Amino acid sequence: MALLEVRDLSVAVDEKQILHHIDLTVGAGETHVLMGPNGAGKSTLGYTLMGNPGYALTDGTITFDGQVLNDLSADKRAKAGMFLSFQNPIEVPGVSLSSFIRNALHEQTGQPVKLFSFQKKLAAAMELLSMDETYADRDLNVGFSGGEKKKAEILQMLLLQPKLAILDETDSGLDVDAVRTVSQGVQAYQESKNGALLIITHSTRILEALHVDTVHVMVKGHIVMTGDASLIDEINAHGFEQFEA
Amino acid sequence: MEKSRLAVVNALPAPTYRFLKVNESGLSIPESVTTYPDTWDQAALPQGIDLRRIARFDDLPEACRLIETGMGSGIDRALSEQEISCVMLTAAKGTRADEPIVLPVTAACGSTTIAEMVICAEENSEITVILDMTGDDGGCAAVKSFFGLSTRIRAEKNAQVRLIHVQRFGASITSFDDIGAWCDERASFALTTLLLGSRRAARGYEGSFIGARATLAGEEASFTGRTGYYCAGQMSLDMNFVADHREKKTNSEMIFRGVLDDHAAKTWRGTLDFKSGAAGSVGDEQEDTLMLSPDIRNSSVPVILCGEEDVDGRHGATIGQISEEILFYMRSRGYTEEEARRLIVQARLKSIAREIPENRLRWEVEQWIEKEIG
Repeated sequence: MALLEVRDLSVAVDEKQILHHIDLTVGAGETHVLMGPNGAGKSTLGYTLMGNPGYALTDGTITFDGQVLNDLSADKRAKAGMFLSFQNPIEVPGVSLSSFIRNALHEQTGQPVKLFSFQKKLAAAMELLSMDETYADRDLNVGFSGGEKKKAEILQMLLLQPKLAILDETDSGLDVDAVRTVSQGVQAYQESKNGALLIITHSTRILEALHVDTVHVMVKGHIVMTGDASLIDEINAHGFEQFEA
Repeated sequence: MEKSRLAVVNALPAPTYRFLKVNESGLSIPESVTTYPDTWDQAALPQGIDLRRIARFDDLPEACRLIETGMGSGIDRALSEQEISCVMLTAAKGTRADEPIVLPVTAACGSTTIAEMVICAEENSEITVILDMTGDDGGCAAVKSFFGLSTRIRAEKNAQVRLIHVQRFGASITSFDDIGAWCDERASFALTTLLLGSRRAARGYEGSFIGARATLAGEEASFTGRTGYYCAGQMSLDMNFVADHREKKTNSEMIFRGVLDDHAAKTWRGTLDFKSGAAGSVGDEQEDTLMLSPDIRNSSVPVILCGEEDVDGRHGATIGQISEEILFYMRSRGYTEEEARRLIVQARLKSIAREIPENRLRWEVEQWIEKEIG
């Protein structure tokens, strides 16, 4: 059974149709890449899958781990095992990164989170991501650089251990070293949890160190091509214009 | 019947249209009051810090008595007429007090208390004072109570004064918190005020008033203000903050972060007053108000007065509801909407509570926020 099954999905934002009849199947542990030019609707798909109330499903179904998600709120989708790494992570003044993740774990599992073991896992994940440990006690994303914000997203993913992580332009705005570090975090997630990934990107830097199963190309709200990892090289060589006709 | 005197308080330095009803406020001050708590006499004092009583407001040294405060002279008249005694804390020249001085005060049920204090930081000294204001257990809503606090600060050359006022009365009682500071050359005054209101209003509740004024009278003097408040139920919060820039290269930065809920009303006045001669000065005031109910009333009056050309004055305001963006972000991590809202409200107040430089009190205040608010 597929982990994520999207059938005939159409989505409108402010009554404007953005996505048209999308079909997408992601199996457990698989890594899918969604590529496309700016404005293709890639992030819209990510937000829709996560349940952003600003995105209206006008047709189709989203099934995740055997459960139809169409009418479920974002918190219920998170509890079901879905995660979205935001392109522009939100600042939450007054809540430290550490307590935000710890509370989220408690919210998702309904179980108390043991402090010592949590701190140990947090420290290990921060080390993997080359994050200064002082960030754990800083207000979430407040005053973080663009790179640290993206790392904080991956840190959350590593600790929340979702079944499917959607990474929305996680590599944008990062320098070469930061992309490599983030990529290491993503690899660790793949390996530790057999986690599935839907990586939304229009560049390929973050993909260099990752095993990719399937690549989808989205143009103007349609998935116009699906293929294996070799599609990445083709896009690198010829761009997206070949799909825009 | 209890006698009281109506004082005009929290007047704007430059009045605006009267129909806006924000130029000033009125506060009825009871005529029969008890004064500052005796427990202050037993406060643990770091070396170089002296505490003594001054019998009457009028006996204060002129250099302290004449310091202008945020709420204005209406409060002074009450202090003077009622011969309210005063506590004077002095940090001797060059003293660096590492530990904060914590002064607790309880507004007892049915009491009418006005406390007055002066902090005098002599040259090159450093002092931190925390006023921890609490009510009786659970608050006493059934009887009328009144609490007032007046604090004046004189920071001499290079002195650093840090003042923290925390209010957590169990029920909202009529109260005022009036602050005035004078900063000489390169002196700094850092003020943190945290007003944690209650949905329960005590009998006869008339409002909560806060005023603070920092007179930056010496070159490179500075003032930073951090104010957090939770205003709910039928609470009414009236604020007036003034940074009075009189000399060159003075700096002020004021941040106000609050939450309004239920039928609460709030009036905030924030003035950056650049007087002639304040060349090269910078002032910044930022207001961030979260409104959780359609029934609240919010008035914000930011003012920048410029008597000098070469100054940089900034004002910013974020007033509104919790954004859908932040709610979605938190929900995508598994927080329910209710839990996300609760956390956001508490977080605002905790971000100010974190400024309390005394671990035990900070922990207690954070616990209070988690238990009582949101």
